[in-house]
Amino acid sequence: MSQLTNASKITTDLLPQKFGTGGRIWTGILVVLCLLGLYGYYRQVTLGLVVTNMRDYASWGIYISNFVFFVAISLVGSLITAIFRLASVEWRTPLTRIAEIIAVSAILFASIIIIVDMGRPERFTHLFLYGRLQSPIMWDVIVITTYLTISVLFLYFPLLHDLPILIKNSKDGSVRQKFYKFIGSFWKGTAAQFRISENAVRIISVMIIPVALAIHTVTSWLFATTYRPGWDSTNFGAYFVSGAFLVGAGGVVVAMYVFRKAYKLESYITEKHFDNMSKIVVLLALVYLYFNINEYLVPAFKMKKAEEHHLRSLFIGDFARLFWTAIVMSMIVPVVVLLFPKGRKPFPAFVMGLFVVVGAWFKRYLIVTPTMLSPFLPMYDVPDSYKRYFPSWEEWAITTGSLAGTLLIITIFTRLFPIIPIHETIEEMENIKHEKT
Amino acid sequence: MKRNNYSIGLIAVVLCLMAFLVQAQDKAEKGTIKIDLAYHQMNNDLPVIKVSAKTRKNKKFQPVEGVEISLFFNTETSQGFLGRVETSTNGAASLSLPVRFKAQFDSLFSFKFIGTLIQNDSFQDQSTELEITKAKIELTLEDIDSARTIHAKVLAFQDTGWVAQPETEIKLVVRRLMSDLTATEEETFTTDKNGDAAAEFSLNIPGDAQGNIIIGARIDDHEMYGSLVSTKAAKWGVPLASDSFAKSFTKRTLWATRDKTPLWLLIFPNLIIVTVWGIIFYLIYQINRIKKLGRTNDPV
Amino acid sequence: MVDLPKIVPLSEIKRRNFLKGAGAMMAGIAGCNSKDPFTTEAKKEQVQPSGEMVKLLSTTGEIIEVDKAYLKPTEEIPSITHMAERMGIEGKKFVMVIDLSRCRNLKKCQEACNHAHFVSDHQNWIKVYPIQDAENTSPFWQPTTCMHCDDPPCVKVCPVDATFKRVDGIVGIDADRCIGCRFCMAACPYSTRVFNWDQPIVPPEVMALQYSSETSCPPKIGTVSKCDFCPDMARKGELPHCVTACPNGVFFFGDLNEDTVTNGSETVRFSELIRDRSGYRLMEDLGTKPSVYYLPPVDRLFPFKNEDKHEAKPELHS
Repeated sequence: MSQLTNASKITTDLLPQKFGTGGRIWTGILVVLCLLGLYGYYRQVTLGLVVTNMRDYASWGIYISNFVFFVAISLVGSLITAIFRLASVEWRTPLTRIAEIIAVSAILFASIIIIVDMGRPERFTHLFLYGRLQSPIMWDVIVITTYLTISVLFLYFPLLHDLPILIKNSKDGSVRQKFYKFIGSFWKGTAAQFRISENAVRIISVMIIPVALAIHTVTSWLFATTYRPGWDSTNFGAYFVSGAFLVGAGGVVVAMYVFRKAYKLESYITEKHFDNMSKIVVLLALVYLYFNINEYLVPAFKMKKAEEHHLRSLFIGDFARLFWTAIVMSMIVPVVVLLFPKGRKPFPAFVMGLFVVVGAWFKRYLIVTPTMLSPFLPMYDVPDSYKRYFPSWEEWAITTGSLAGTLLIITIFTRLFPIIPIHETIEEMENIKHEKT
Repeated sequence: MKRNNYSIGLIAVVLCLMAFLVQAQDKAEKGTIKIDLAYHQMNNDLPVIKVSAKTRKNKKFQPVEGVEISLFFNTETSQGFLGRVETSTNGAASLSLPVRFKAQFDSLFSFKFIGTLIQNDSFQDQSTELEITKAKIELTLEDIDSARTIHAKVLAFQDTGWVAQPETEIKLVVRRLMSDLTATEEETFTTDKNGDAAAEFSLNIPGDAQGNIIIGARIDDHEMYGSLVSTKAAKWGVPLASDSFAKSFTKRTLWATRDKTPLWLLIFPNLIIVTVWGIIFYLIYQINRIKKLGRTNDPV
Repeated sequence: MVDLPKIVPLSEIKRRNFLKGAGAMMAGIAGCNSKDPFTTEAKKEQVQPSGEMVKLLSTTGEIIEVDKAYLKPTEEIPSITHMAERMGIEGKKFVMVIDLSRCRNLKKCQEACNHAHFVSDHQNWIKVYPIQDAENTSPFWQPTTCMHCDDPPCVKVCPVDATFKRVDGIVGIDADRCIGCRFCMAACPYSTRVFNWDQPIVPPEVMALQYSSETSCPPKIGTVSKCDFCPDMARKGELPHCVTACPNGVFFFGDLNEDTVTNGSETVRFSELIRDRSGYRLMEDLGTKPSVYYLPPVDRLFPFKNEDKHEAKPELHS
């Protein structure tokens, strides 16, 4: 009796709900930002990349740093869903779908933003017709496609388990129900089906980890395969991967808090979850800090001629304020705050998560732009604007639009699907009950 | 009466003045152009006339682009008309002597080339003449006991036939892609009383794969003969060892085209991709299996 | 130089597969009686036939025989196929030597190059840098072109083969293939590549031309461009525009296989020049193997004077 009640309570709690005023305003803002981004892109397509402030020296700008940010945050899928699963972390259940939808959405927009950065986006097909396997960009295209496919599968298999509940609880004959039926009306929850599904998820959990590592290592190689100061590092793969795990974990903490508040999921995403995730954030922040020290302290000790201008611009020059703020904000402050139990409560953890994510975005900007403004040969025989870089309004609009788009996809997802897997939660609860008796 | 005459006279003077002023204006608006003609002949082929058009601006000579110069042979008539050329951005143009003049050209000792510019909006009419005495260089290469010598003889066409010309400056060169390299120790030679100039060839210079090079003897901008070049091929160069770069070009490298991808890049990444995507397709197949199971099973 | 073989002989055409099958050929030979333009013109000019016949392919696909004397030699060069442009000129390996002791920052090289390739002023392919390696070393002007490296980092990273290394050493760009990802610009340590952020300012008749990687014209928006060593000039046996434009003879250009370089007035042996004047390459330690050598600024012709009172370059409009 109590089982049933609990199961039905879980279901009621976790079923996707209509948006309240807050939700509608939120969606509205995201849509507006997306439209602004589209308008910015329209200007870029018709007038050319001249509408950006990228020029011959800073030829890569916030589109590329945004791309790196998206790829980084998409690693969260493998972290939470795969690694936690393989390590049999029990409290992972409420977080898996959040992590996966962030991953899918982020990697989708990574592909979109990279097309936005192209000077000739209509020639995108050239990558497939004339692609050279020797180019790191080709490697990146291959791994991103692979990771996107695997992540979608990773999202899909567990989603099947919830579909009968969703179909049952939606209005007969509505578009929604048709949609649910289209995705998985064949899922009956039989033992045989579960066996296949569980097996698939197990396979993906193992496979997605090397692919996730590959995706961010290959993205780091877009920089490390050049000679430039700040990029010419053997450390870049590990440096990027550790940063990716950090920003992914931070992103999950932020999402946890938002969904918890918005959908009143306090009994599912508990304070223990925040406590545990915060500890993980601390660990990852320390690892990333370790890699940062290696990346900056060691070249600074040598102060090679080519690196000197670059390092100076980061430490005491044009980028100093941004650099130190990003380091403090995304690594040091979260570590300090989250070391304390009080700091690991939901709200402070959420704020630290925000710090990590925002700091990470600026950190990626600091990886891309300062190096481009420290070329080997002096910046000469060019207009003054070439020697600086600050993004134009179109660049900001498009970048914000892409971030808004990512959030929009996640928002729409939560409107259609339960953000916490219903079936798994019920199963877990029944297992606990069973163990107790 | 006298008044009428006076006024008519005055009007006439004014009209004349105006006409003169207009003409002077006309003349003042049009610039002066300088046309230079140069005569180039190679290996006794039909000669080429090179035209250079310049105008003086700000105390410097600037090339003039897009003017049409008419070229004539000996007489400025329709019979002597060689052709019309338009100058390029460098103010240069060239025209080879048309075949129909060959007989005439062969028979003459000396001839005149005339270049004219008429009825041009920006420049006054101009005409230049170039007088050339026909000459040739006889080039012989001697290779005795691997002592190599270049012999050049300068001859001019006179009524007695080809006559050797002394005191003529001549250069002995190896012809290269865009220029001529001096083939001898000295830069220039002067022909002796027999019109001969000779020098030892001792350069160790690369030729093509078989060691062929082209030796040349040239007279540059002679006031009577113009510019003449005579060439002869010889196996006097060092055979080109197969180009080390061309060799690396056919290898598999990171900078090669995609058909020459390095093997390690072709094998290992593809192996990994095939494995991973193999698993992905297997998973999709599993979805299908779940579908099938769902259809056959009774609804729970 | 007049050269009759410039009119394409039949054997070469066969290789180019203009004829599809022997059938067309048979039909062509049958139509030998038609008067060709060479004979018509020659008759007009009353040229005496030499008796020596040359086989040609007419524009209608027929094979005609024309007397050699009727053929007028022409300076025109047949257009190069796309594949030939990507392969390059066989047997040549272009090299450039820049004599730093003679450069005075006149920027005539820049003017000529920009003019010939329709390069806007903010995009100079040749940049003349004031260089001073260290506090106590001597300052000098350094004109910098594309290095046409033998181990080119830009070619390695191009995802679509839009930039390619040719057998004659030149690194070319195919602006019809380029997707504008700008990875090559990030990879080049010499900062020699420029990007067409805006619509290039080009006369309409040039815009309408088919793009050729040998002239790098017409430039296209959203693609990368750079110094190309003027292969179109090399095919004509002429020097690149920068070489002829420099009044001080700073640029030497030539074929490494011929061991000869020239600046238009002086022709010297490349190996001797580098050995005697101690030539070097830029950033040798990066391993890019550039094709441009520099002669150190010793025994200068002019003292170093930087009068560049921060002359602002015109900005891009957007």
